[in-house]
Amino acid sequence: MEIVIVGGGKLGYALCRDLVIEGHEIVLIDRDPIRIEALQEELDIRCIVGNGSARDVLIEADVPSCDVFISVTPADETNVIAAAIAKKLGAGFSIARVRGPEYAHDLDFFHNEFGIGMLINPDAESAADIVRAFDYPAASSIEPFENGKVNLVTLRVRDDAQVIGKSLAEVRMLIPDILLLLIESGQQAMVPSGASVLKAGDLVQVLGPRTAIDAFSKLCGHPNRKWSSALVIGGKRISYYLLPPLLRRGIQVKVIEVDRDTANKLAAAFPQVKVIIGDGTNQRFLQEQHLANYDVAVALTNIDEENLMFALFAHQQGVRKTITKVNRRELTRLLDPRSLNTIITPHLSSTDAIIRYIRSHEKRSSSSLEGYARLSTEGAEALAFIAQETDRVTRMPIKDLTIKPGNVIGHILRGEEQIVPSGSSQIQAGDRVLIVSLNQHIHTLDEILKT
Amino acid sequence: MNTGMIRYMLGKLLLILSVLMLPSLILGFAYSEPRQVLLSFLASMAISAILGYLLSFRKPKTQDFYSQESIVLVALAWFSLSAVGALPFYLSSGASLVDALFESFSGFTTTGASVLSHTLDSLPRSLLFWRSFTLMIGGMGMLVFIIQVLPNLGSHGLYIMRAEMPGPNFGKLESKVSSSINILYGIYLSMTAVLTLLLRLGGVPWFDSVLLAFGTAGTGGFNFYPNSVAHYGNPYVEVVIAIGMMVFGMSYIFFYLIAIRKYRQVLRSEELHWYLGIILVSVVLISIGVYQRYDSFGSMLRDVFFTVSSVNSTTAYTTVDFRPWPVYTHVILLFLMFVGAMSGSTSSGLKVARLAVFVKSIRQEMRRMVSPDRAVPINYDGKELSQREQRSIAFYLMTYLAVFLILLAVISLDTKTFSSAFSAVIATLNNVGGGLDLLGPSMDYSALHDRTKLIMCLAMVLGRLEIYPVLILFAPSTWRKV
Repeated sequence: MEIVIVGGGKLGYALCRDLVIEGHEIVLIDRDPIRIEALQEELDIRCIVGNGSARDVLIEADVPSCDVFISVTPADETNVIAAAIAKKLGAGFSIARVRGPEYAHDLDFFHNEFGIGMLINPDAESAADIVRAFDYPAASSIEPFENGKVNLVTLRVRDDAQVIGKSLAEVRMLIPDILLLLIESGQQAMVPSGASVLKAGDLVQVLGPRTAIDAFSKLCGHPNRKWSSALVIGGKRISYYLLPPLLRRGIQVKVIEVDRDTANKLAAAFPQVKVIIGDGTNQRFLQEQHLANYDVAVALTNIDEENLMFALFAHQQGVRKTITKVNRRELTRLLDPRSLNTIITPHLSSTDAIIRYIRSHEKRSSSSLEGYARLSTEGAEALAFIAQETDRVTRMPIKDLTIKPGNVIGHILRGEEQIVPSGSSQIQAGDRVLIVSLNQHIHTLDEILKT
Repeated sequence: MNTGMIRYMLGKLLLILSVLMLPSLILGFAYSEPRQVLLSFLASMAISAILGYLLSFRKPKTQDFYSQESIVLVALAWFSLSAVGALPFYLSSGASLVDALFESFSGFTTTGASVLSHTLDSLPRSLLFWRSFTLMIGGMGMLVFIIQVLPNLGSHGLYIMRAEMPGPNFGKLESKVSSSINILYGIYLSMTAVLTLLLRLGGVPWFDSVLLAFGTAGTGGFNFYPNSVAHYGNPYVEVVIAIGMMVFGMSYIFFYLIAIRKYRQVLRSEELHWYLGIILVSVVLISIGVYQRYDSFGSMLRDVFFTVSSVNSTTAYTTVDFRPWPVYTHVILLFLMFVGAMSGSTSSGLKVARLAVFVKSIRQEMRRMVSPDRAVPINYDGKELSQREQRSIAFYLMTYLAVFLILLAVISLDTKTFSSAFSAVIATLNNVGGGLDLLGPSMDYSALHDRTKLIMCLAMVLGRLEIYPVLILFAPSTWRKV
């Protein structure tokens, strides 16, 4: 597909990189010639220097004939105007990033009146990710599907877990409803079989009802207890989205922010939250703020390195759970994974949403892609499809399907009925099917089958 | 530097080269040529394939490929493909090794200078075809082949495109390097096909039409008759080739823009205005000096336009011996040789775009002297030219002059007059092929010393790749590990 992107910042760069891998033709517009030059060297894209909300520039970028237009400049207003103009010029679908909390209620208006097909807000989505981490205390990350009815949960097997040395078949004996989809052990990821054995430090992707997941987290060595307090460093935009749901859950929150004005603004908006002005990387200062006494430490500053250092220090001080915002995920690979719990990458869920939209509109077959997420394991993806009558997967029970290695059917949602797939279950037309796949790049349900 | 990857890609290119010799071999069979010729092509193909296989047999450990690797690959590719491409000449025509190398380098660099022109009647047709076919291959470059074997090259292809595309500026037509290069090659091939058809319609035999079209498309212009295009004595053919040379001297991006109906962008291009202006002024000035020699205005215009178009596009086909023309016309032709045609074409030389920027820089400097505080940006194609682009264009001229002088000094060791040394350098460094008084229209270099011929081979590659890649290839720092 032909895709025009305005804005070559963190999100714009991630979009260009990921969409080129998906095989699309990208045109990038940015004002800064130096940034454009750097991106042109690195990525196989066409670049244009100019103002992305000017009609001439958009025409030069062939917006009138493009399939998807995405505007992700730092300014919300520019994004909305650019996306609206692009739609009027004839772009197939237009997407704008709008992250200012003051526009939070205007999204439907932009959608209906300006013809902007999708509005993305990475900050709000990151905040939602963090809140989910509070809801599943044991999980490293949670990927919701089907409006939160199905949650794909990632858990780390702790060193003192009872599950160590047990095979998957034994786990299924103890907890029948749990389904283990993927095991990442060291640098290796695999789709497990019944005979696979869990080791300390493994990262597992599981699906199942809440009770089963809670029972399994206990086996993995995570005590089931609710978090009741959090220390947050960084009081910028994400905090505005994060604090209200945390406060609703009755969690005690303290925010540390280095900039006095930002701190004052936040304190004024949330009078019930303690906002401290100070440097979140100063260890003595953190001890003075009783870091060790908090259940959760959340790092949300704009500097990845600071966030990571803070999380490592919190871990060392004995904080049970750390949530760290990291834009460059590759940085985390330099560190011992056991010292970091939950990593949040703001642009990831936005790019996932856009990739899902684009993949589902490349009409290759009838089954439509309804949900898409890249998992923390390198190369692993979770995809939700609606099965159609014409799909070959609906013709026989799962045990008779010849599924390509690296793919698993994780979950079936039939109407309101949730089905944990077993060998005898059969996919029917209209079912919502969740697939987890490793290094496959699938676009349709039938692509999990051997041809 | 990732030498493994360079070795691997070089091997793939040699494998492709062996396939590219296939048409010549088939032609040899079709004309039932002597067994020795067929065997020599078969042997060349085998040697090229074996070398290629040995080099690309082992996959490189990492696929890392950056600017440095691309430049070294392009420079090495030109040297090694030209060297292996010399095998058919060496094995079948009885030419000496140096002569065979000279002919092959001259072909791949689209120069069109020849040491075999005195033996043209005795050369088998398959070899003549191969000789002109190398012009065609060299015209567009190696990237198109690299893309076919390594479709996942992605943005790294951009470095290669930069290293081998003539001219200071270049625009990607499409988002992907691979689709851009395929479009460019499509344009190149279809224009060549159209030219072949037009020549055939003018009564030129098929074989000659194809070879003339190759020579024009690559702006190389290998002759296969001693008196070049004048051999046909056909005004239609002369006009078609003259226009063809001018068109192949234009940026290929124009033809793409025309195909997608963006005529305005073409008409507004500053480089096009300069290009057409230079041709027009040269034709008028030369006509003033030579009109007395002609009976009819039409035939004079044809000869003058043909010569201007031929020299400016660095093709060097001829219809007339211009040596008796007044000296000032020689100076104009020399100037045209220096400048060459437009960037993004197959021609060589400095390129019209660079000349335009030089002239503008001079004007800018003068304005700055008159009023030191005045803001004087250089606008080119409606956009301000950055300091960096301006600098790189100015430096290119200096590098070019330095290389020119060094080559002149070295070649003058073996030549009798200054002007023959001078024209030998300009003929090879600018990939023109024909010189001025040394050679005249027949342009035969066979009398030169072997050492001079080898230096001229180097000069031709320097010219085709716009100097820097070759300098970088031979710089010791390129080969250091860190």
